[in-house]
Amino acid sequence: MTALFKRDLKVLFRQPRGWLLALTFFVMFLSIIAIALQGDIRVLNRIAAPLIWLAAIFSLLLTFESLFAANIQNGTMEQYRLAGLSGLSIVLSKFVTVFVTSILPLVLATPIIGVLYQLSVMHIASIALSLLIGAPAVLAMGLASAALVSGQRSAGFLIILLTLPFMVPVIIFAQAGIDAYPREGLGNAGFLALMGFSLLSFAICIPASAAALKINME
Amino acid sequence: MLASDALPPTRLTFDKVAFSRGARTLFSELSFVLEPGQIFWIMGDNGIGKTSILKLAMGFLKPDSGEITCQTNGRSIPVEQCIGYIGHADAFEPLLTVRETLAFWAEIYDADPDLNTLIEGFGLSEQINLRTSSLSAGQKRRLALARLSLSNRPIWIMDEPKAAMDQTGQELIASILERHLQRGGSALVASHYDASAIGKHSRKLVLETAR
Repeated sequence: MTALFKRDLKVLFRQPRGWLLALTFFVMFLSIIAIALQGDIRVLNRIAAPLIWLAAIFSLLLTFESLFAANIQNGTMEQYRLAGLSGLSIVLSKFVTVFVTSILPLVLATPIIGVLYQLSVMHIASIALSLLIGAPAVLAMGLASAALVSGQRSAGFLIILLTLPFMVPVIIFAQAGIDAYPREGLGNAGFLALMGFSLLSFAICIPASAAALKINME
Repeated sequence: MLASDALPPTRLTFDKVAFSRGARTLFSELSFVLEPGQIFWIMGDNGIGKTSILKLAMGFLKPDSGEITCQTNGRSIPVEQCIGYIGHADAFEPLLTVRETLAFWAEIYDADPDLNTLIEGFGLSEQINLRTSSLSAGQKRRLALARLSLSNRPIWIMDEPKAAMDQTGQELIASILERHLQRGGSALVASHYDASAIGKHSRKLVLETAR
């Protein structure tokens, strides 16, 4: 799996269009909202967390469509399978690669948005932490959807359709965790629920993605 | 350029295999045994089902009935341990160079070849640091053959191996096939070309499927 991860990472860094697009969308979307609200700090402060979360989800959705499609179309998946690489290791490699190249940049960009929205350090920290804890759930579900619809027409639309409904609990738990963070710290119920949801998504969606890839090849 | 040690004697068996695509039956009761040291040529027109037979052998398609097995010393083994494949699709990441591509597959196959020698053997020395997207169709085919040789699998499955190959490339295929057979390997080859043009010194069987 190390070889696979190194390869995936190398390819993503050589073709930064995908993750740079996600990061650019994230920053621009939130900047435009700030401009549209005419820099009303009171309003921005109140809606910052759900806005950042929405921007993060939409940004990540942009990266999912191409994750498996090229490898299925050009026969790489067949070679992987014959080489004895398990679907799990293929999906796990993608998970780690996207986490490093897409989620971490969003988390790192959050303080910049926080400064733009004039959020307190505590507020910025809580939002960044919620992304770090909750975004893996988005990623796991996105991977499962991408594996399921790879090679289909309108795959991007189908991924959005399959993934978005499951984002409701993520945003609710994240908001609860961010609200409680100044009083209760990282161990608050909201963050714990978010962490549980991420773990559950990982445990279900990663094997499901591997199974979907196998079915897609048959 | 290729490992020279003997391969485990492995036999591929199709036993009364039936397969249909939609309402169209491509074949039924298809039986054959691919023995070590043997090439089984599957010849026929386009769309007759050559690639389907290869995909059935690799487990990418499931037969309607019948059984397909890989056996070493009478023991069934999974296809991942016995089959190497060169297909229509290149299966290369366009952003990686020739060297990076083979280094990656060597790691996946747990092989430790001298990459320079391997690349030279397949006539790709000048392209060693070129990305695979810059290679011609024939050069990609050579690279795919180099990956196949890295796999060190006893059964090679080759779909139109001659496609896009020039005369030197065709001679290269013939020589690596011959070497593979000498090591006790075997090959299942789909082609609509004359089988005698490749591997003419090897043992051959010809299967013609009927519409």
